[in-house]
Amino acid sequence: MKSAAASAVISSEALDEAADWLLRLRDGEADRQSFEQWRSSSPEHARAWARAEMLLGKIAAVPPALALPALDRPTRGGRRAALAKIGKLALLLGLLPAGWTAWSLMERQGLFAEYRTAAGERRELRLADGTRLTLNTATAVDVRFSPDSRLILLRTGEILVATGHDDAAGRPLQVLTRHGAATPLGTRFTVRQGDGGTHVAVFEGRVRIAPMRASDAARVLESGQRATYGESAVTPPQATDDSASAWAHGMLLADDMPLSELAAELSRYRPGLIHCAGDVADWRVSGAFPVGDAAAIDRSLAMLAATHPLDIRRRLSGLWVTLGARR
Amino acid sequence: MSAAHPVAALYADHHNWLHAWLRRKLGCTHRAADLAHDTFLRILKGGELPEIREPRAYLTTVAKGVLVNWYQRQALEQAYLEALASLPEAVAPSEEERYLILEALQELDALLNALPPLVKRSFLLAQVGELRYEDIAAQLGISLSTVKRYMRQAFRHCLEHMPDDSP
Repeated sequence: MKSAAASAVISSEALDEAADWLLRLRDGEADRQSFEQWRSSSPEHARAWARAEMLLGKIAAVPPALALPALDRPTRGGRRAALAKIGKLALLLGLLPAGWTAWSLMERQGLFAEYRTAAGERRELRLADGTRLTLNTATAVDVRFSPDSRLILLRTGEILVATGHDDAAGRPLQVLTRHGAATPLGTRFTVRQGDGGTHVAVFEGRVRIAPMRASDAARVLESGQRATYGESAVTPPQATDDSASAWAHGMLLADDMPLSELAAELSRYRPGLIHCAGDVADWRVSGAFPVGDAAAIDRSLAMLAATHPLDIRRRLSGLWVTLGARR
Repeated sequence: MSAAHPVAALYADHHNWLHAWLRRKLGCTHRAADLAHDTFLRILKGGELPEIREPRAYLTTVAKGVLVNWYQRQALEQAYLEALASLPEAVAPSEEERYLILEALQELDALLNALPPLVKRSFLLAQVGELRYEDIAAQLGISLSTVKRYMRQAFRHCLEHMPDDSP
């Protein structure tokens, strides 16, 4: 279990410093270069930091909607009912900025969503105003239309929106994610909510995107542009084309894509995990791969194995798939 | 028999008694047997045995620690199952994901349980809930600088007690 090098004692000073760096990096106060300098200046620092990364990895591995109620349970006394727990979370969320409340820790897992797709499922909806909404795999959305607004809450996953013609009636359409809002100005576009930010790609018309916590960072994406936004910033726009919405037709277009990225994309469409062994993660692949239900993903994997010297290992009744170099 | 491990002697003389003691606490003979086993394991892992004048008092002290851990794991699992039950089926994790998540939660729980409740709370709200320090301060009724101090304390504690074995 423990290798001699890894379990060597790390000095109290090195642990103190690693804790300070964790804080500074978390709060965005760290200068990346001096951090790298610190880390590489001694094997002990490197070991202390390896622990820090392992800690962050463990925290990232647990979904907040499950981890928070489980870990933040009362230390003694009677168990709370599940309802009381949700009530407490709601109370806590009441303290957050208004925009954020829609994205409670529970809700962002799609808890109360109206329309959902399971992994491998795709679904098309036509909304009351004629807007067409296509839900990609593992997606949850709520649609809230009122006399003066049309709100689409993307709780998790990815959607393609082709707006209807209600804009003239003065009811702006908005797609809200936990990172902020995307407001189309008569258009066809996709919105995908990821862990690190929301990705928007525009194919027709224009879309205004506004991060939740920084309205002055808002910008307008033109047709053929894509960008990613977090709660407080938007990346500079990059070029995109219709290949970014190919999933709506059951295709994934890879153009010189790292194999690890393709594996992660395919993994979205089925339960379990598709991942790469380290030796093939950087391989580049191009092609049109079928995506959708489990059978489509199996066809994609078979295509990969037919065109690359790859070995595809399946474990846990096929749930865990590892792509490795063929020996 | 003079070369016998001191724990072996402890085991031979008091295992049945410890098992009975745990059974009275738990009301289940199998669970009591498991935890009695864990108690001796813990003593073995502890290295050098202290000089024991009152072996049964010593055993109950260690066994109480094992019991507390066991209750904590039970409470965690219970809270986890409740949280799972509150998720709609479509977004609920698969069986194997559930197991992996529970495993990760148990590790985190063991790591964080030694922290004072407010420190643990602040850390969880910040790192798992991704709340801002201001919101945590308001929620817990403490100052912003206290939240920061707690965060540092929690990070420092975790770094010190992280098991080093790689996945």
